[in-house]
Amino acid sequence: MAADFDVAVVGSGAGGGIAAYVLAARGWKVALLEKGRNPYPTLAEPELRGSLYGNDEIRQRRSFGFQDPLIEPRVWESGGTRRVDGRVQALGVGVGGGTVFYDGDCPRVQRTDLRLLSTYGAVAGADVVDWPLDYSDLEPFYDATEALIGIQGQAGADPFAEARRPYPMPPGYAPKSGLVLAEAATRMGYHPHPMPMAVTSMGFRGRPECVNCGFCHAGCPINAKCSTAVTVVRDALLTGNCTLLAECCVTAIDSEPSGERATGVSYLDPAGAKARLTARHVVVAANAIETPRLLLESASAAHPNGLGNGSGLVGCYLMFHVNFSSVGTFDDPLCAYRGRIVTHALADFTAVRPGPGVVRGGYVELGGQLQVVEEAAEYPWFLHNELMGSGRYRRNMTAVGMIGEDVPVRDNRVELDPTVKDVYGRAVPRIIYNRHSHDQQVVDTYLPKLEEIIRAAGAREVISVDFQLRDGFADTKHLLGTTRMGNDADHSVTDKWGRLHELENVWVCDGGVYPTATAFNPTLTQQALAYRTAAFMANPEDPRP
Amino acid sequence: MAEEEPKRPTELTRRAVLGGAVTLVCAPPLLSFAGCGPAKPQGTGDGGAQLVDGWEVPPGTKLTPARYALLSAVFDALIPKGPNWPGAADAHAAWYLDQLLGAFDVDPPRIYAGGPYSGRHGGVDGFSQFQRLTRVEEISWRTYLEGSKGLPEREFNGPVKGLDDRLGVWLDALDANARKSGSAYSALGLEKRRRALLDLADTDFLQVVYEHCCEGAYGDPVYGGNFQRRGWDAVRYEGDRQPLGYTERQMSHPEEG
Repeated sequence: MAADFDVAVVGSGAGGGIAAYVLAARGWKVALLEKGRNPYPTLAEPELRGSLYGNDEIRQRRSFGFQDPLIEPRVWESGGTRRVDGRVQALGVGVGGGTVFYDGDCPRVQRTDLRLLSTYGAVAGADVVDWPLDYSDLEPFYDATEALIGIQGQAGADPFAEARRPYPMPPGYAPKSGLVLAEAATRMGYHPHPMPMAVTSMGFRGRPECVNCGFCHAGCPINAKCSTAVTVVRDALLTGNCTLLAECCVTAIDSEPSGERATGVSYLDPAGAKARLTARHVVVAANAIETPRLLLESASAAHPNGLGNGSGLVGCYLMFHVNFSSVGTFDDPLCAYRGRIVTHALADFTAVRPGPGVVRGGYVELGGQLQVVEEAAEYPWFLHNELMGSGRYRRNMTAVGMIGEDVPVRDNRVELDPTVKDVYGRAVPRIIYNRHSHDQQVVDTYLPKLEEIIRAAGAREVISVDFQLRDGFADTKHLLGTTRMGNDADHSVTDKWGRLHELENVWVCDGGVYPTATAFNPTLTQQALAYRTAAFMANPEDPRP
Repeated sequence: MAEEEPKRPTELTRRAVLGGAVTLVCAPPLLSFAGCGPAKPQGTGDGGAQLVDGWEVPPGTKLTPARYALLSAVFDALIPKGPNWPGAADAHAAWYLDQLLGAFDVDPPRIYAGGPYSGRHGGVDGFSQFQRLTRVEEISWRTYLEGSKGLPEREFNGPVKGLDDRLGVWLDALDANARKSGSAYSALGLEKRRRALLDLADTDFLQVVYEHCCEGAYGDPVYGGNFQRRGWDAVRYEGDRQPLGYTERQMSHPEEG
């Protein structure tokens, strides 16, 4: 019996959206399943009009288009403590996934990011490895992805980046906060450059130029943010080969009794009724927490420990970067809430020479903002009027932050919690994560350097924040490593194309395939990897963009 | 291993980089408040309002008049009115929260405003066209506001108390404690109302109330608060900007306004 679809793609975010488009454009019949809603009423129409997002903090705080913390809780275990909290690494849940709400930061990795073991050596207590592919394998897919979704940036501005072709769009204009930080960093001998961003700086493929409203985290009302929703998902729908199934929560990947192939997916439809569809292939792109959750839930007689989990590594090697910032207030107003959140970056700390005891730093983001409700709610109520009246922390403050690389540790992992459920009746992810001493060294080494930059820019008061320490859980949004790829089926979950070692037609297209975390924001690389996987699926003999 | 109860925290993004930092530099509680104004808030302008302990209660509130007055008194203590400061009262923050509590009294419910624009800066007002909820969004918001009520689809992790119940109990307890000293909470002066909040042993729910108060003072007016954008004007905040946005000059030279 013929399958309903050539491929079922689970998740419409960074990787899933790309895979859906690449395959639909090559004539595959695609079912794109998305757990959340579709806030784009005209997504499949010839003219794309504004979304259902708005410059509206209330909607944002009420989790519109986002993982709902009440009905989709998570369990976080670290340092002997356990908490049930839906804020833990929550991402967008809706068409476009996390790409709807992220800053849009889209740097590429460096060659050495994929050769961490070869370059820097082993780290005790961690399983640092080289990736099973090279930068040259990724480069054409970077180019193709950037051209497809639209990236702004300035080629050659980052001396530590690999040589590259011009960006599809030039950098947009920047708020004062980004400018003063970049000027200070330049004076200190660093090499700040415009952050490569998935935000339009000019009209691009039918979408308007960003007007810098400053509400990137609330979802873009005018589709200037180059989310997968308004780029590749829309493109996929316009091919006529892709069926978008929004508000459909996949509950299992179905497989043959032999366990050799998947047959499709089971899901709950928008009314909550159980449904199934069959497909020749399944692409899982639900993110590096939700994808291992689904694989573990899809256990069968042939895969008793979870689908494709013969190695026991599904869910292991969870990474999400260490994120820390120096926050400073300035005498003059910056009004960092105007415009894109991070407009400049520097990679100087990623390029340290390898040697004994050397800890490599990560990419540094110059900029940070608060909108007004967010600001007010964070103040102690008994100081509300004084602090809000001065507006100092919204108008005069900005930040310098680092995306620090955390090392892969097997015991940092995602499991299914035996007691806590979500609204769909599914076991929620239990995230077990303890910071490795290497990662703490990254914080200890580089947080003072971030402080130096912001002080050099003129900050009067500086506070340095290690977010995981402050919040009691990690919320970096960079979800990596739980279905790591490799050439050895005993030590990895997927092959170098993102295919499960144990099932020939199940593919992972999210950050889970990362063997190491890299020192850079992951979205663009996830998308390039997804493009590469989809190209291989469509034409294994010649997997080109 | 200690375990916390599930709750609905507000959505915090990783980029909320500044907020957590400022709490670190804040001084200990100030007991005196220099800018205290009259306790009685201005009304909503609706002619049918009644006064309860000096607090104006509009008709048709979801809360009982007594509890609405209590909530108004609490909000006024959290964000007091000043000489050039609207405070929670003039921003109609209590009305905002009451509108949320009664969100399902209208269809579609008043949970998510529409998009993409408010119409204040061009374009058509889409905000006032509230959006229909998905099945699971409705489960979430009914559970949060009304509680689980023994319904299996809401009790997948056990019973949940609704905001209406938690708020009512909390307000009543605050009032009962004040009455031990001879006065309803809502009849107390500003300093005593603030002192009563500072003296609370458990501040977890106070923080929930405070965040709702902030949303009512500074959120988009379509949700019922921030009346006439008074909250935004008071803190020199421009509010929503689409489809206008900011010019390059406005971004690079914010000191010019």
